[in-house]
Amino acid sequence: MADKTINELQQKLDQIIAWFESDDVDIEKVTEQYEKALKLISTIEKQLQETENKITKLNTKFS
Amino acid sequence: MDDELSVAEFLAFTNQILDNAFPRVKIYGEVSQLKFWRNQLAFFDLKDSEAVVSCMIPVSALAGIEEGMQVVVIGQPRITAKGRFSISAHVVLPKGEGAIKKSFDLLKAKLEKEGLFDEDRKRILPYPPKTVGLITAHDSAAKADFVKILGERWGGVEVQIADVQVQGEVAISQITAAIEYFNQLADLPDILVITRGGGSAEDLQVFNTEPIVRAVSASRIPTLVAIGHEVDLSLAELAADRRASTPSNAAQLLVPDKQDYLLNLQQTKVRLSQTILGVIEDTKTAISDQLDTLKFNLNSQLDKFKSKLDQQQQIIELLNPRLVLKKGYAMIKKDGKFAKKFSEGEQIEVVLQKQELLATINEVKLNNG
Repeated sequence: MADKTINELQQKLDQIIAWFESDDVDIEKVTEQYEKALKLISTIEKQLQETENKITKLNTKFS
Repeated sequence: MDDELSVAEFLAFTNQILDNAFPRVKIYGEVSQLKFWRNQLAFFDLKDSEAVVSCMIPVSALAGIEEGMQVVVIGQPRITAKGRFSISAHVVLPKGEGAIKKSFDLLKAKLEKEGLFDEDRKRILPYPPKTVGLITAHDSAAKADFVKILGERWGGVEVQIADVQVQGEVAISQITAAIEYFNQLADLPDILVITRGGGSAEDLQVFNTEPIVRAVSASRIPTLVAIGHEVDLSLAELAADRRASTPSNAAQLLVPDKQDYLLNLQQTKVRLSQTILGVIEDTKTAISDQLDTLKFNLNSQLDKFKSKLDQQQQIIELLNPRLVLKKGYAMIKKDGKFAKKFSEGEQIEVVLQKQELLATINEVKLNNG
């Protein structure tokens, strides 16, 4: 999961939340989905705390 | 110089000398005798109390300028083919507070009429962006503030900085070129941020010039313009998809605050665990309901069975021989067993409802039945 951006991870998390909020929540899959969500949340937290912005100055001269 | 020159050669030679001597001049004065040629070129005289010089400029670079206005003309001196000395201007900027304000109002009205500031042209900025084109002075406090706040709030954003001057007439072409540069990249950045810190009205004037306003407006990449000032908005900000008050404010608008985001994630966690408990509770209730239905069905089957049994019991009761005894009949047993035939002198037991008699048969008579 480390190569995914926070946006992509957040989208996956949103899908799981939507599944939980839908009418056809399958009790068989509840634990599996819940664990998936917790894993996504901890990956996002980790990435958010560790990833830095990349700042580059262009060499191009503008005139 | 002894060579004979044609008139054209002489003028070309003179212009070359002028180019070398004055590659760029800045002259201030008052605009008069403003005339337009085919809506492409504008001619005017720049004058003060003692002298006059002719100027020419493309109409598109003259927005917001009118007769009587104090201006600074930036350009090159030239002699035209008709032998007239003239300034070929690149930029004409209003000079002094009054002229700047007037020029601003004129250009604003013109561009407003063209729809450059219309609200329905504004695009929604990707939130948060992955890539940002930042147009600002690289060594400025504005750039430092922007990068600092961005880093405090969010991570993983790729920022490419186009280092430009942010005041003076050079800024106009540099900022315009930088906007165009980002717009022709194969991989467009998600957002263009054009920013600088506060300054005097004259410092900020470039952001009220037509080329920059048009470049912002024409950008394929959504724009966020943040010019640090407190009074009027610049025209570039009006043309941008989004504006911010300062470089720091631009970074705040661009990305979420990671602290808020982390808090939100915690809340999501709590909400999910509540949901999962809810799902389990609902399932429990459903099972309990099913159990109740099952119990009810079982009970009703049992009741049916009981009532049938009662009926059968009543029928059997009617067949009970004791019932016959109750009516006064007797049953006779011989050697502990019911018997149908007896002989004289035999010992018998006569069973009544409430008594049992031991008797001896005295006489046997035959019935005809």
